[in-house]
Amino acid sequence: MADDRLRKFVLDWYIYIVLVVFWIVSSSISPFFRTMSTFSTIFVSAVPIALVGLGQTFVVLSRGFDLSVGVVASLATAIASVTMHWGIGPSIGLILVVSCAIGMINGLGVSKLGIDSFIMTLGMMFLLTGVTLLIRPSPGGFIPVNFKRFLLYQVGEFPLVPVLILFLTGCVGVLVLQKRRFGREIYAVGGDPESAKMSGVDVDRTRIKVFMVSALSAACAGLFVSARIGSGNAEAGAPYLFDSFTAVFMGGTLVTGGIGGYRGTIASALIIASIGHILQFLGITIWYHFIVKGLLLAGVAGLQLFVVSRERNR
Amino acid sequence: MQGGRGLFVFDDGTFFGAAVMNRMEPQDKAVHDDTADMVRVDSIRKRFPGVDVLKGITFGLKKGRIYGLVGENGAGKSTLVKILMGIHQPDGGEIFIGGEKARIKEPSQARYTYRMDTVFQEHALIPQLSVAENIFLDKLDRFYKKGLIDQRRLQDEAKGALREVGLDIDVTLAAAEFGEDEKSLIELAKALSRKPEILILDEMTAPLESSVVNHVFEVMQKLKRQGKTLVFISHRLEEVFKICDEIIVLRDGNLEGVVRNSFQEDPLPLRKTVITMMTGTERGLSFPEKTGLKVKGEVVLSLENLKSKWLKNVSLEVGEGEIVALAGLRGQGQSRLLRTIAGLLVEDEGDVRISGKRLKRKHPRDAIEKGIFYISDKRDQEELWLTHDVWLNISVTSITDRARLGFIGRRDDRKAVETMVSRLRIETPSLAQIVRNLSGGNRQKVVLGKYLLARPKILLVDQPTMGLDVGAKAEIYHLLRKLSQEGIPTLAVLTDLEEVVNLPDRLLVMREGEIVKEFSKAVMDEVELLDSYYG
Repeated sequence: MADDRLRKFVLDWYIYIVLVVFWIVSSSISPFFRTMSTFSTIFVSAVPIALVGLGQTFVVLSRGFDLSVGVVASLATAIASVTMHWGIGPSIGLILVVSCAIGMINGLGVSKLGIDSFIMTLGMMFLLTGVTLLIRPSPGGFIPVNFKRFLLYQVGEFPLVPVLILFLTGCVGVLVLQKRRFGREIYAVGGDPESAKMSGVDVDRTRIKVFMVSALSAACAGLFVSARIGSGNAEAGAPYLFDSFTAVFMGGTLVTGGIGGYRGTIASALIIASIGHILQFLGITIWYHFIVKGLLLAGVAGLQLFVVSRERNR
Repeated sequence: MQGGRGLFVFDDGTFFGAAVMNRMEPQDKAVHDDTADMVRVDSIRKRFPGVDVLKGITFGLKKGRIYGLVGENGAGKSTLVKILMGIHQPDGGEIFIGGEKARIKEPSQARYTYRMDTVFQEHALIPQLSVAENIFLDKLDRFYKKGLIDQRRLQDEAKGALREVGLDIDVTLAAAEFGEDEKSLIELAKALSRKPEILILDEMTAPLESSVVNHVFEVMQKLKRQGKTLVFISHRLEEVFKICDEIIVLRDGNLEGVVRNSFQEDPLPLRKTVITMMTGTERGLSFPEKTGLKVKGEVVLSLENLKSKWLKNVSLEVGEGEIVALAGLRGQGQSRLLRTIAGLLVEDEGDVRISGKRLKRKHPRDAIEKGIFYISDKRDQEELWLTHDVWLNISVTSITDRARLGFIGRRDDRKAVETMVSRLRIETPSLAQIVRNLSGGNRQKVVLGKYLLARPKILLVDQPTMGLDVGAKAEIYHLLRKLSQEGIPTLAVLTDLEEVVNLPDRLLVMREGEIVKEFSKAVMDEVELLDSYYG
């Protein structure tokens, strides 16, 4: 019994175990790693990954892909950089409305027109890349100091607001997926769309909502990025596309839909944010960063498959 | 009667009077008395690209009765159910529920506005979600407490719903953890929890064992006493005759007639009537002669003391001219034995010999190379490329046999496939037909054709007639028999009692991974047989 409970605990939380082990090993290798300022930077860089990862988790759970998250984040920085001088509120409002519309178009294309989500969002990615470059051909623009200060607010070296954002995003993501009808319907749609339909789930509506959540959370990530870099940049969101998938898959959500959750995505976001730092402290060039990320993703995913298949054969 | 064939109403085989016929006449629909129809389907038509599935169907269903809905595959039963549930929209005709004209746009409307629900055989439960969540999937927000789902109340109510069907299981487990029996009952509980007035059971008993079927029947009788209207769809006619008050027979999208069941001791005349109506001929399930009893021929496959996690010391022999069946209760290792021989599962000990030579199988390929072909019962998932054409599906396994210098000779390939199509009499407009558009029987023939082209030594077939209609079943029986006479024996897993008794030359009954009894008589004693199933 106790054995079973331990097994279940390890299965449920293994990615956090990986995270903690990673931190302990890194801290013991490099004295620079075990400082508050390092962890502060890790939390701050994890915020946008966790945010795009939120939407991507929803989309992947419902058996889809969203390739437009990176460029939606870029678009958000671009719009912010040209509209923040109207005031922070209207600018944020505009960004949220625009991203909602983008998500809805993605969702409508996928559900009502039956276009594969990969293709639909790939098209959207190209389209929005052009639009973003039209708005902001070169990095720059105006981001108010108050906005930056608020989002990056620190108490001493502790990044209070970023950690709060991480915590709240985590709570919302986990609770919506586990304890709201919408969340359970996402699992149903991803598990077996045909059964979900037969059981009375409005599959199309669920899909549309999922893509709206994805675009919204990507836009929020973009807003946070714009605060960090203090400007708008048509390229700023690009890395988050791949990071969102890495976070989702490393976090244990299966590419086939219906299995996984947001808890793992958050831990993976922290792992991804940590990798860069430890390598930097070890004086290793940035190129190895990608190699390590690739190996880690393959390793964790492989481990997970191994464990799952062992569990099934028990 | 739009497009309909003549409408006949039989009472156990005899033509029944005009009084019942009147009930079917359209002008009668305004009458509302005690015996008014709960559901009336009036001249319903539905056309899919290339086929008229329903050609104007009219009938009525009353409260407190159980109706059988029978017909061969493709007769239009499922389409009719899907129209009633609002999954498809009819191209013509009307539906009346409780005397009111109903426009059913989607399943939730059928369920909550018209109180009509269906237990489907497949596509029912979401494997990843818990049993409790599955039961209340479309109204989880009913369980909100402070905006979040109250798991305890959800589980309590799910337990209550399952009690209605006599099932006591852990409702927090994922639906995937349960077997077919439990899944069907969960699905039934799910439908009952919505308190339907009209309940359709669409092939729900197909994968069930007889004790569970009886249990389902008890629930149905209870609902009947409560005045509900039930529709029971099944390929197993014995079940239909046991429970249904009236039997609605469809054929080729037409209503062939409605037969009253007077629950006679001997269901044979009724059976004959219904089968005649279903098929248009008197042919029922006809089985070929058991020729393998006389000519066993040389031993093709022999197993010696095969042991694995699921098998205990299995030894058997199959000769050239034989059809040998593995029977028993479901899940006693029959399918696993076939899969083990085919190299899909590994044995711990023991020998598999093919024509006397010991065969090592590290990979399914090793068995295939020696001419051992396993045909899965999950035909659509494991045997066919449903979205590809007949040509590719038949050609694929042996395609390199028709290659020269590594290039496939298109003409040779075509000729080989064409020969197979005509030899097995696969009904397809052309080789370019997508397999998804073929009927179940023709799909199974495509599977057989694929392997026959690869020159098998023996066929290991898991439930060869699973989901096929009466006509297609008979064709498969005759085909397997013909092959055995040509020297390609069959080792098959059979579950249907009628097949078990009539098809194989020899019968091996398995229980808990062990062969416990062998029968090899021309006429098998059903009582003795069933007795051997249980320990």
